[in-house]
Amino acid sequence: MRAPELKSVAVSLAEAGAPGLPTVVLAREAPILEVEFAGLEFAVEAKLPASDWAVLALARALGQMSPAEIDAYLGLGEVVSEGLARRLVGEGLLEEHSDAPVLVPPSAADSGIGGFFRRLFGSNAPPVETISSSVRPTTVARKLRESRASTFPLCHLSAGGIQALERGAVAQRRVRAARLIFIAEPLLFIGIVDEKRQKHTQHRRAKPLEPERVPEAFRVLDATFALPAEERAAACGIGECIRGFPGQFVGIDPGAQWEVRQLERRNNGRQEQQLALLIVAGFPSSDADGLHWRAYLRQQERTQDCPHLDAPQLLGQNLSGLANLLVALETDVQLPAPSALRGDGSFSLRCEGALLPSLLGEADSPEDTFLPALASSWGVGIRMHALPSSLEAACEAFYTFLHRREASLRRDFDGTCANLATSLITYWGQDPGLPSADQVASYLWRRPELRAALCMRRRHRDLVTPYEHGEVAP
Amino acid sequence: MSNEIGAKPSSDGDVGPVRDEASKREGVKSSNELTVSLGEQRVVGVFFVPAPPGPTLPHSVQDTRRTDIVHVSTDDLTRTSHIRKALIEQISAAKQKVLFCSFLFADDEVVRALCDAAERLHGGVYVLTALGKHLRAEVLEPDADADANTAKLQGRAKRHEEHLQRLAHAGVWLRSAEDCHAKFCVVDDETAIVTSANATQEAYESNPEDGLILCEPRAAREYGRLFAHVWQHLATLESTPGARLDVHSLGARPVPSWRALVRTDDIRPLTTLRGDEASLLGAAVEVIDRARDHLTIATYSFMGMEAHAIGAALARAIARNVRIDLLVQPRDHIEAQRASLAWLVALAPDRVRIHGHRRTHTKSIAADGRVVLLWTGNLESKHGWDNGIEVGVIVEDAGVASAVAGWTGGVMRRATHVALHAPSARELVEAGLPSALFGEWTLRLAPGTSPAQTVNALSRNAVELLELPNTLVLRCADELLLDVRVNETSRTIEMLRVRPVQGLMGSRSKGWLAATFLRIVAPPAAQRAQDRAPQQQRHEGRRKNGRRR
Repeated sequence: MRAPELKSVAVSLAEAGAPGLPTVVLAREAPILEVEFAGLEFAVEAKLPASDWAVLALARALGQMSPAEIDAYLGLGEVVSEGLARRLVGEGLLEEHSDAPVLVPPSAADSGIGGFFRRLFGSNAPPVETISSSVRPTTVARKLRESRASTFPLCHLSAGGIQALERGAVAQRRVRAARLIFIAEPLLFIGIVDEKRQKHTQHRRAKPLEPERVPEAFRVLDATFALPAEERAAACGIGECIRGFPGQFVGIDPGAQWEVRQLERRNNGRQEQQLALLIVAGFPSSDADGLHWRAYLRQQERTQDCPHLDAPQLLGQNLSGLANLLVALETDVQLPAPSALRGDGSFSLRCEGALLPSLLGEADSPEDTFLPALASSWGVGIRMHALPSSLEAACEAFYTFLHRREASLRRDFDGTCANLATSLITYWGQDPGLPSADQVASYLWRRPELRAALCMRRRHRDLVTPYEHGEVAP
Repeated sequence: MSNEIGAKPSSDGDVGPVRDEASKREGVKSSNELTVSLGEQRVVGVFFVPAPPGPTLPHSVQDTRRTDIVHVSTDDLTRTSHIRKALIEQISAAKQKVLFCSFLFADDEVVRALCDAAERLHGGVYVLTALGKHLRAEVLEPDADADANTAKLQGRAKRHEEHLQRLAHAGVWLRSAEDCHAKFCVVDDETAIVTSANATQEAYESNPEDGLILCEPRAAREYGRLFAHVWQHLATLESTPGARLDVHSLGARPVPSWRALVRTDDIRPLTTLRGDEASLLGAAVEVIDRARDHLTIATYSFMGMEAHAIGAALARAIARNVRIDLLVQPRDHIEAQRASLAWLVALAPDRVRIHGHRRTHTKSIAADGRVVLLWTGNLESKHGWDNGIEVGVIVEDAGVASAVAGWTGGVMRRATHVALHAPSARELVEAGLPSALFGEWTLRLAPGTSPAQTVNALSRNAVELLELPNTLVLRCADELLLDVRVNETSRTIEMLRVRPVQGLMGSRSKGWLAATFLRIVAPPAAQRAQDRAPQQQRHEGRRKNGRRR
């Protein structure tokens, strides 16, 4: 990666909330993969109807109950009470009470509503109070009447029922097909494919990857997605929700399959793989290590912060420490020692005229630049504050910057020279003895593209001053 | 020289339908057939014919007997350029700046000298020349030389463009002011060279051109001031120094008032600066008015002087018995010049001598070998006296005036053409011009052509046969031009169409009809009617019947 690109990457971190220019930026390209899921499971909240709330509250009060008790306490009638009980059992808010454990095949357990609530609440599900038939909690509730409704099934509150009762809302299960975009190493969710915009590509999509080419992380996506939201976010970047889908993300619909594809796009008539840029930036820190690392992802000119990625872990021990990093870097330039790190997070580097202009940036004025280097699979940029090692080097940089200010030189040659000299001296913090405007004019004549500016400088002397008293003001 | 205009009637003596004055010199065989005898009709004005070969006179360098004013000229015989040499010497010696004005740049050596100066001085070389649209207007203007053709003009324009590229790359700052025909160079405000020569190889080596080197700082500074004013305030296009020629418009900017050029002792810088100064005109009149015995005048062209202040001055001079020798380029195809020269000769045929040199481009007026005006314009009423930009200089010094007059006289003695006053076609052929269509011929007119008007025009004008790339043209002065096809076997000339006067660019003379008997055959009436467009016939019907309302 070239210095300007590194600078561009470093500057883009600000839009993702970075505190300033990093000291070191490491970047590597990662292929973008699309995973198409036949079904992803989401939990969507709906308001708990008053009748349901009343039945669930009665179940919590009684510990266990039957349709006959619903009718007796709530006066809903035999038919309604029996129907309510059956529906709430069906929705998983009540569970049938059985003294003997019921053996349910695992798949059936996963696909049922109970399994949904287990996946939804996971280990955070509230403990369900097990109530024995012989012991009933006391309640101040009084029966309205004796009911002749059925005493079967005998039910108690499920975990979902307890949640619904507490929140006044019920979680409804929704299963949706989805196409999610990831990078594989590390596994990181990037976004979703907007189906509405992608319809025309349905028939042109790349074939799914053969199983042996599917990255390991994608083979265990079901397990990764099944993690609690916080752990899942750390593992793949997906937390409670997936942007673009309503409701809380639960996981892959049990039994649903997924396919992995490489994302491609046409460029100059050729298909090429889409890539994202994984960035790890080191910012100045008071830590003993001297740097604080943070990860970012850059895709299509947008950079986003990835706080859930463990940046030092991405780099590995060899690169995450400043001293180690400087040793590990491969570059054409003699790198400074860690002690050359300045307070603003850049490294002081004295260099000769051949190198100095390039390390002062491509703008009109000098600025820190990122010296390109390599470290294993990473392209690395180290922020340099370049200083001249000699007067010749300083002059070379001076002339290079003047060359970039042609328009300004045409307007005011001497003023431009003076302004630039001030700018360089301020940046360097020293005056190396830059040449005068006359010396500059003589030196720059060798560059034809600057001759207009040089001639404009002398036009007044040649064509105005000698004849001034001969002209009458307009 | 005979004034008789030849025309003879047909054998039956019937005057026929032609009723105007010319018809009396024609005969009619039938209602559709007329005859005209050609050869004695006269060309209007002064016409040049090649001079008979004579001894070749060598070029002589004219000594002004002064060190501060030097006369330089082109030795067109040995193709030695004293003007170029002087310019290059001055430019090479420049210590501060060079100001150079020439609307053409087609000379390698001067361009190289300017480039070297710009490199050596790190700028400071300013050029006024024709750029962009001005280039097209000036460089590609029709050349008076009969051999001028598009390829030559384009070649010159290409060289001009290439030289501008070189100049821009070397650090020369180019600007262009419309109608600027001045040719001068100022070096360090110490020396000025005023010359008739554009910066072209032809001007420096082939054309009789001259100029004066003025090593007088006060005069040079005045020319420098003039250059700076035009360059800074009147130029509208520029190409700044740089890697390549980049012509762009200059924005409108305020123009300071111009203070007229100031004389220094016996050197008087002059200019025509559009409406701001016309000192050249006053100076030309003054020099002519000061002549007591002899005027030596050189100009590239001489037109519209009859009613011009300079023409009036010339008439006054002739009235004072002043003799005039006038050197001019023989541009016979321009009637205005022929007429103007005829007017001048007519004032005093025995004291006005016209000399033609086919390449002369020099411009000067010397009075009695005492005072001389050398300038960059021409004796043309429409250009350079109260419009455009020209420069000149009057030197009131016998040595300088004699040098200029002597050199001009030398060109006159080497004249390539002799002027004839209103010669007949026969006299032109006798003087050496080619003849064409000798003997009896039949001219078949095209449908719609009036036989009477055709005969009238043929009878009154000397007729010349011209060749254009795809056709032949019978030219009766500027009155009538006929595209024709000539059949030598049947001795028939078939008229194709009438041609406008402006359509003769690139034509070449095949000869004059000096002894030609033309039988003119009009198309039959029926054919004439058939050949007319139906629409036209309907219009004629309406005219006969009166307009319906």
